[in-house]
Amino acid sequence: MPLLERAFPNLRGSGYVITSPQDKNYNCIAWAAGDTSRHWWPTPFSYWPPGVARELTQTAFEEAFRRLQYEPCADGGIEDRFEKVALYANQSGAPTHMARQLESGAWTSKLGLSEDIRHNSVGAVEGSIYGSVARYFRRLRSSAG
Amino acid sequence: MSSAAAFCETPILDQEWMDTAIWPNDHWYDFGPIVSYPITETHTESHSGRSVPLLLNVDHVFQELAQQWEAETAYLSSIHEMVLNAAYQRIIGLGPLVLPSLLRDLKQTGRFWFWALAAITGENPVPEEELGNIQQMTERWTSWAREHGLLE
Repeated sequence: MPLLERAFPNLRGSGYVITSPQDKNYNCIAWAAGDTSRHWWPTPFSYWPPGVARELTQTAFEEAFRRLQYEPCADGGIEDRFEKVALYANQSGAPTHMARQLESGAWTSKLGLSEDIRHNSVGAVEGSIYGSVARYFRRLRSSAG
Repeated sequence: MSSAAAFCETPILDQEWMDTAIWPNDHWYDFGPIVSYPITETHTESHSGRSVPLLLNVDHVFQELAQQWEAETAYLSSIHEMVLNAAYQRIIGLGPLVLPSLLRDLKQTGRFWFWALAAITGENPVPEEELGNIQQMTERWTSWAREHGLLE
């Protein structure tokens, strides 16, 4: 069984595709934000939007993505003219991962410092490593005018 | 097995090794926030008469822990979880003697040693605007290491 599927059992048979080689230069939050030049995380050693609390809370992540014009929304369903991101959290509610929705309705995730993948459902990377989706945010696609 | 390899099998906190090792200075535990002593390969002799390179041993332990850490955190996105990993914490626990290994590895692999470096040295030479950029952060730490005699 591929290593990825051992780590994320929900990927098995779900039609995921590896879309990049491993890259240590950015992480999942940066990828969700559309930035491949650096790590985003609320620590003293990573980028975090100026003025947003460097704390490991869903509120801090929401604030960080509000700076990118995202606002909370109800679910990860496809909505015309909107792009969405999903915030995953562990059982304690601490953020663990983010994924970004593509125009097709599929999702794209940077898996830690490893590969990017395209996965068909937001639940495909839920499990023991990332927990489950805690919140969704959306913003108007730049092409929506 | 070579004597160095045999020595590497010895746990880092082995009492015999602790008693016989030549430490970088007389007060090795009192290094303050910045490591200022020059790191060079030091040889010592154990009770059994083996001549062993002290820093090679630290580097060996570091390499094993680094591999373990990478394997166990490969898919983690949370930097908090990455640095709370037991292997990462053990690397921090090796203290200033591991700095040359950490800095060499950072330069070669870009692995996320920034938290460990800051924890061990009490320093963070990376300006706010470069945080998160692995290449720029690595360059800042490499310059810092050269200034402090930890890298050539």
